[in-house]
Formats: sequence, structure tokens, C-alpha cells
Amino acid sequence: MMPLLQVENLCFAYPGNPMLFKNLHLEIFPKEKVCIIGKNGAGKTTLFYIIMGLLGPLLKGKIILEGKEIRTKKDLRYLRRKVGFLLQDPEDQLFCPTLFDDVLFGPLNMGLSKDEAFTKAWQVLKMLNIEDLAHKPPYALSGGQKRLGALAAVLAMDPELLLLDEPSNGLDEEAWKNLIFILRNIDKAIVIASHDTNFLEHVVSHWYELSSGKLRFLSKTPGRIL
Amino acid sequence: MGQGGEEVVSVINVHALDYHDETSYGFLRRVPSSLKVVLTVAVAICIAVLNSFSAQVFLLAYSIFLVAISRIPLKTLLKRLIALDGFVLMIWLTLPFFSEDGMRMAALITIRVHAAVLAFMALLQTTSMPELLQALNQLHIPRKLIVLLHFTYRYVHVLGEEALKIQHGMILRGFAPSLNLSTFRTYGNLIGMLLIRSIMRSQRVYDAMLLRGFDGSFPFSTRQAKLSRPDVVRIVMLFASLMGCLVV
Amino acid sequence: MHISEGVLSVHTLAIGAACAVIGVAAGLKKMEIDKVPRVGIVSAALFVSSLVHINVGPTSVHLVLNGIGGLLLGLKLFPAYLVALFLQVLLFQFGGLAVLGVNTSTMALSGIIGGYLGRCIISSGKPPWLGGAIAGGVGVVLAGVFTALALAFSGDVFVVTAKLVLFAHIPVVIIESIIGAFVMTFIFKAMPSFVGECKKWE
Repeated sequence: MMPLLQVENLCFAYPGNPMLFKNLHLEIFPKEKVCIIGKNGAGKTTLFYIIMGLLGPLLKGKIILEGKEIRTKKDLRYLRRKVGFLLQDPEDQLFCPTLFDDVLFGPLNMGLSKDEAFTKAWQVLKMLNIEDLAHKPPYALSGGQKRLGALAAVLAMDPELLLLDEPSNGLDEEAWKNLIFILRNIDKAIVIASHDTNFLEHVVSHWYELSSGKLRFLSKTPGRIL
Repeated sequence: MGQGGEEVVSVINVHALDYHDETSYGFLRRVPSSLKVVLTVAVAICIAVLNSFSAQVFLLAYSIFLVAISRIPLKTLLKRLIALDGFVLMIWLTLPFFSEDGMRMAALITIRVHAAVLAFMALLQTTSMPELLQALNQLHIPRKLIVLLHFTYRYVHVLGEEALKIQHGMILRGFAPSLNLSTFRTYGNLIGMLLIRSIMRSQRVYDAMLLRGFDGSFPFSTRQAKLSRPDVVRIVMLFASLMGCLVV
Repeated sequence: MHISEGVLSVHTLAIGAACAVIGVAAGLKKMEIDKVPRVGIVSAALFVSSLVHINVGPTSVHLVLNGIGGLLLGLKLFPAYLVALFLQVLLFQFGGLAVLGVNTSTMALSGIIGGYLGRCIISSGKPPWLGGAIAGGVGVVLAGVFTALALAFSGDVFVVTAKLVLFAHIPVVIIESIIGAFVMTFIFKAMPSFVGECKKWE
């Protein structure tokens, strides 16, 4: 089977800083649930930013999606549709007047018609069980609701792969369990960067560790049941 | 925050940033937001332009009527008016003593200030920010200005909370403000920190917009409730009765 | 700091509104739609900062920061102020709708002039604190002068009030200069690229 996303020979350094990634490799297959653990500053968030084409230039290496290297702006636009990135702070991702507008934002920019975008938005909100919040402004939502809202906004673009940056941060127990339930039932490839090993044990099956610029495969564990 | 912390530091009150309470505003909540914006502007212009006492008294009565039907809690209302009346008091303490016409002017200003504030509160506190943005959009206010209003209001909440956290950190490290240079330095650092965080956040938000395919357009969803016939009649009467200020 | 509703004469309000329309239009022209979110977020930070109160004797003054705003945002301060003052009416009932034009013009124009001087000082190689102090100080001095002019222009009754306003500005000018100096010192220490970053948004 062809990997969905490949990172090949990635070398990267912030200007004036030592090398952060040295020939880093990563392969994600469809529907695979993977986590990346590592110390603060190891570069987990940076790796996600590089995959999404938000940071550059790369010193060396390729980002390959569905077997095709990302080179042009058009490729990048396609990648940003296929790969959804949930930022660490949902406040950064909920920038519209209401949650519904936020979920609509991606589909409309993808060129869907208004009706199609509306249908899509409601479908995602229903899936996450947050339809009741649709017309609330983001500052009226709780921490857990904001997280789900941002996830809805990402899912509305129908990505094949989700990159989640510390998704369990700041959630209370109920929201924490709810998010595990949702992620287990999403039929997409997921990569989670997190410190919350308890959370990860419930969701992922493949463990990687990012340290000294390289990704090291740790183990395969079957996802635990809550 | 520790005991007594609140009185030591004049903290930013983040909760004051919500002006709109969704629970129970009667008829005025059903009036389309764009009409409310038009009416607000119309009332403000009438108050500013008309100079006769009788017209101003009429407008004050009109505003009081609006507030009465807005169902804004009396407590909220009084809190706002008390803040306002400090200014009115200053007018009464200065104007009558420095000019023959001062007494009349002070009275007129008092009426005007109250009329303007009451009308504004009745009409716009019954309008949530998403509705307001949508209304401004329908009224063809420049798109960039609406987006600017939206982003400012949206991130005032986020940055307000950040400011609070920084302040708590300051207090925990023993900061007690007084009128000296080190207090000013601390405030300068607080503001500098807030500005730097805002610019870093603005980068992340912009990234998040790009990731969702932002290409310069910004949608405002329109959600319009159907008006019942009695409501239409009420709205027409509301606008028509404002004309009264021109004839009294 | 700014003028309340119901005080100024119609022609003052009209002139203020006309100035504001020109200023806001110029400011909007200076920013592309995709930079608006970023200006809004920095403007939100300025709004929150201006809620800081400093106790001076029995009363407290709140910060104005129009000069620092001008230093960072340049002409874009005009639309930023229109929005911020509108929010102040909405949230706190400060000012009012009819007087919005006058208040936007006095605050933004003074801030832009102060900020421009501050920028010149910093880019000529002088220390950032000096630029911040000049921006903060000049911004508030001019805001006071413009506000007093608007009052005096509205009728002889207000001449005394106008003088009072000017007088009341003196402590604020001192505070704003000092705060401005510290803010710019901090910013240049913690993130030297900040001002350049803001300029890029034009």
C-alpha cells in the first residue's frame, strides 16, 4: 500500500540556530493512528508546520503526499485540503463571528456552493454533537467546546489525515473522554503530538519519539478501550 | 488572586467585555439588526441636530420607551447610567458658573446624553455581535472595516484574558502598584508583552486562515428570522413615531 | 479623555465626521484585506492595554496609548480607532455615536503624528525609549489640544471646559511619555523586529 504522507530526508534549522531536524523520515499510511512524543522544544509543532508548508525554506528533504512531491502553490493548496492541522490553541483557529461561520469558512474557500457548504457544516457539527453551539460566538464556548469547534472547522474540509497538536491540553475529564471517543471513531489517519501518554494510549497504535532531530519508532500497541 | 488583591491592583475587567445578554429581550430582539442600526443612527442624528427643548424631551421620552420595551435588566441599566452621571455632574458644576446661558445648556446636555445612551443601549445591546456584523454588511459598510471590527472584538476577549494572567503573575511576585517609576516600568512591560503576544498570535491566526484556504474573502452567514405581521406593524410604528421629534 | 455625546454643536460634529471619513478611507486603503485580521489583533491588544488604570491621588487615569498605536499602525490607526471607540460606546457607553467622528479624528490624528515622530526618532538611530516617550507624549498633548479645540469651537460656553481639559492633560502627558518609553524599551529588547513587522502590513 502506498503511504498517504511521506517526509523524506528532512533537514531544517531556524535561522541562526542549530539543526533541529537531521534527515528525518516519517511515513503515514491511510487510517493509521500515530503519535509523536518528545521533550518540549524537540520540534513536534515545527514538524507539523513544515508539513503544512507554513515554515520554510527546508535545507533538504521532501514532503510527499499520495506519492507526489509538494512543489508548487497548487500542490500546497491540495495538501492543505487533504491534511487537516489542529493548532495547539483553538483560539487561533476560531476566528469567525460564530462557530457555524468557522465551520463554513473552509468549505466555502474550497469552492463548494453555499448549499453544499451548509450541508457539510451541519454534518460535521452533528458528528461531533455540537449542533446546539452552532450560532454561538467562540468566546462564549468552554475550553472543551472550543477544541471540538476547531476540530469541526478542520474536519469540514474532509481531510484524509489529521495532525493534532496537543489536543488534550486543558480539557476537563468529560471533554477529555469525549475527545478520545471521537478520535477513535474517526475513520482517517491521525498523527498526534502530545505529552499526555494516558490520552495517547487510548487513541493511537503506533508510537514515535522525536529526539535529537530524528524520529525513532518505539512500538505498536493496540488502542486501549475506555 | 489572593484576598484583597482586587483592591490593590486596578485590574482589567474581562467580564465587562460582554455587552450582550442573550436570554430574554422581547420584541426588540426580533427586529432585524440592520433596521436597529438604521434607527440607532437616526436617533443619534436627531439628538445631535435638533436644538429645541421640546424636541429633546420628546427624544428622551422615545428613548425611555425603547428601553422599557427592550427588557434590559434594571440593574444593568442603572450601572451604566451611574457611570455616565459623573460626567453630567461635571457639566453642572462648571457650565452654570461660567456663562449666562450655562444653566440652559447644562439642562439640554443632560437630556441629550441620557436620550442618546438609553436609545443606544436599547437598540444595540439587544443585538449580538454576529448579528451586528451581519447588519453592517447588509448596510454596505466597507468590508475591511467590518472584518476589522470583528477581529478586534474577537481578540479583545483572548488578549484580555492573557493580560489578566500576566497581571496575576505580577501580583504573585509581589507587585503592588504605586505612583513610582518601577510601577510604570511594570506596566510598560505588561503592555509590551501584550503587544508582542498579539503579534505572535496574529501570525498563528493568519496561518490558520491560510490552512483553511483563505483567499481574501470573509463570509458572514446570514440568519434571518421571519417577521410576523404584528411585528412588521410595530416596526413601522417605531420608525414613524420617531418623526414626532420633527413636529413637536 | 474623549468627548461625551450631546455636548458638541452640529457643525463641530459634522467637521469631525468628515475628517474621520477621510482618515478612515486613507487607512483602509493602506491595508489589504488579508492583513486586516492582523491589524485587528494588535488593535485588540492596544484596546486591552488602554483599560489599565493608574491611580493618581484620589482619581485614576486610564492609558490612552494613541501615540504608541500610531508608532505601530501608522495611518491604519484611523480605522483602528473608529472600531475601538465604537466598541467603547457598545461596552462602556463612553462617548457616543454622533460624536464618534470627532473622537476618532482627535485621537487618531494626534496618535499618527506622535507615532510618526517616534518612528523617525527610532529609525534615525536614537534609543527606542526616546521614540516611545515622544510618541506617547506628543500623542496625548495633541489629543488634548484637538479635544479642547473641538469644545471651544462648539460655543463660548465651553471655553472654560476646554481650558480645564487642557489642564487635566498635564499629568496624563507625563504618564504616557514614561509608559511609552518603557513599552518601546521592552519591545525592542524582546522582539526587535516588531515595528518592522507592523510596517510590512501595508
